Amino acid sequence: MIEPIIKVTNLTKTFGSKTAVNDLSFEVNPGEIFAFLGANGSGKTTSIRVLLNILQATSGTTHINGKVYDDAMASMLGYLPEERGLYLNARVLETLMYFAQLKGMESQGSKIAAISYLEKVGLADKANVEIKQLSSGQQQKIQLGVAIINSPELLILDEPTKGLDPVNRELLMEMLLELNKNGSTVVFITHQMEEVERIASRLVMIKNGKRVLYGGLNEVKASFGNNMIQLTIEGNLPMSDSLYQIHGIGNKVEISPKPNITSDQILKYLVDNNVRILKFEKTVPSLNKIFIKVTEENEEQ
Amino acid sequence: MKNNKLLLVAIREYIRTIRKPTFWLATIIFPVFMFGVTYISGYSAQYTEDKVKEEIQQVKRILIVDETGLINPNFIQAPYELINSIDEGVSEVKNNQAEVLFVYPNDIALSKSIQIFTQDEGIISYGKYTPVAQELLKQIILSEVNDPTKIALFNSPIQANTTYFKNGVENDVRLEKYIVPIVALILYFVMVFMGTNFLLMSVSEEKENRMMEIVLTTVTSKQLIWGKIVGLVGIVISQLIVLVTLGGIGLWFTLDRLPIQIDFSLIPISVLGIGLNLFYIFAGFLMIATAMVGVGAAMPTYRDAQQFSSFFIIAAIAPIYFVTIILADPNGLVARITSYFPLTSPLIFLGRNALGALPTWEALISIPLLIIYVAIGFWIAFKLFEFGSIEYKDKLSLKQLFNKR
Repeated sequence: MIEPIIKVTNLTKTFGSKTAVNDLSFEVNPGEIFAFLGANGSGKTTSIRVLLNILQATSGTTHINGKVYDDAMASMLGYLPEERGLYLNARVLETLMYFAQLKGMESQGSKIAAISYLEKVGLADKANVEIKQLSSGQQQKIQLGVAIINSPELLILDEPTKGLDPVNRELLMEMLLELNKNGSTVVFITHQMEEVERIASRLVMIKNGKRVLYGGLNEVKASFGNNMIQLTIEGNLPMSDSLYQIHGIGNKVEISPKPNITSDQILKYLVDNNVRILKFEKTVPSLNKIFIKVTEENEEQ
Repeated sequence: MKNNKLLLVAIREYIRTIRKPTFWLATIIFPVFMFGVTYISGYSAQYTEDKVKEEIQQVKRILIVDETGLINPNFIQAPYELINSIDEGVSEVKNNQAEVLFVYPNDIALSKSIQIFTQDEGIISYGKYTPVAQELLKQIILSEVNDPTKIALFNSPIQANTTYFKNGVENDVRLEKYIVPIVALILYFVMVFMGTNFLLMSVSEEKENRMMEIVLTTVTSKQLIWGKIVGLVGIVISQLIVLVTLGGIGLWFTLDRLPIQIDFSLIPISVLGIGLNLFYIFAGFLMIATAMVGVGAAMPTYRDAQQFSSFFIIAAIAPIYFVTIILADPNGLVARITSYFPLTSPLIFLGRNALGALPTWEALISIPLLIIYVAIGFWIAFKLFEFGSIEYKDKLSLKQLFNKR
């Protein structure tokens, strides 16, 4: 059995009377891309800070490779926090080298890695420029560089694409996939569900500090049922409060079956009502819809 | 690896600070500016004095009304001129026929004052005739003395050589004895007040630049703080090298023109005394350094931190405000109380040691006491750092401090 690279067990973190994380448990397996989801203020960043020993848990345990994280493990970690910046008066190359060396790399090795990264992201000519002279997008590339300069075994990114333009977002996605292909486990916090669907294999979602979704991407989607049906018809779709609910208007609509109603029953009903069907396709709900649904459900509760 | 990380932080702190123009402004420009201001002020005083002397030498007529009868008319020669009427003299001065009128009143023995009438020639000329009138009276009185040796003696600057005794033993109070303590006090102020500000700036900038979280996943807070302090020591040493070099160059060019002559071979060197002074300096430095780390971590911005840190700076330099009380009685109540108050403690112990007024038993107590104060300072600083370093937007409250991190 493969030992998880991250293991969070019954983690609770309170600040005075406020509970930020409530009995949270999840595991991340080596080599996977894992998404950590939740609305703003749901406790994601706090959980990561406890995991990285920046904050202390009120109760429960957090382990990386079976141990509580400490700075001696810095060589295997890459971390891009939500509240991130750079030493604005420092030069690009020396900043990357400084963090590479803090993560255990030798001086020469850190220089080679830093130059190689700068070439990769098109900033080789900015190596000796002060960071404050870079554009916002260029600074974000340096922030990412600080996190991945050591080719980390575990990469934790808190909203990595926040503020990135589509081109740089695409570049980042490609880099994460490449790092993962080269053996890095990637954990990322995001509000961009399409990014999760594109690269993540498993996820956890929390709401008000509590776990509300957890598992493989397909597994999570399946748990919401393959019960949406995309329809393209001629004419009008008859209403049926007992069988389905209609989303959208016109010839192309989406319908969601009522509880305990199968797609076959709906198809039969439509045929019986002489609806000319051009397309009848069962669809999996998008993660975005699941996210919204779960968030709203919990708010209603 | 742990020590390497500390060293990495220290080297980075050192390089980033000495690369800042503000560092060189503080290190070179400030002392050069102070030297320049002192030199210009000394030069302008000398220039004014020379100019006044020159003006006096060019005076054509000085009128004298002598109501005392002390002045022998045979003694008076140009530009001095004896006249009988004050009104006549005032009129001549008003009409620029004479530059000045001295009136020696008949009650001079009681009033001890001379009246002078002259034109207003601007602020630097005010009072320029006063020493002339005084000197004239002195020389007139001296003219009655017939012994040239006595006159020469009267006109010579007389030096006094005093022998002091303390506890029945002759006590050395020559200036050379105070060179080491004076250097120690200068060192204290450079390290504590110039140096620790860089630490405050460094911690605050780390917070303001939102780098804390990344840094704290690669080094421990203790490594980070100690690295910064070690870097700071290097910065202060660099400052001192520059200051000593500049001071040495300045001294080399001005040594023979100093008002006080110093015989460097007579400077007493006591390894124990210097060791104790260095201990007090370093303890004071660490104490204020911990305060700066704590304040820097607790406040969201450098500006907030700077305002709050001034409380610690003022408390640490408070002994300056009652220095005369301490000098008058270095073992009195004020000196004793401030010796044991944490922030003032190092400076007062240093000062009392410099004055030779620190009993051995108090010197022995001071060492563990300051070590304890510094340890408590570090404990509080680490605590504040742990709680406040990632509190980016708000000031750290006492309530937060008592909650679990």
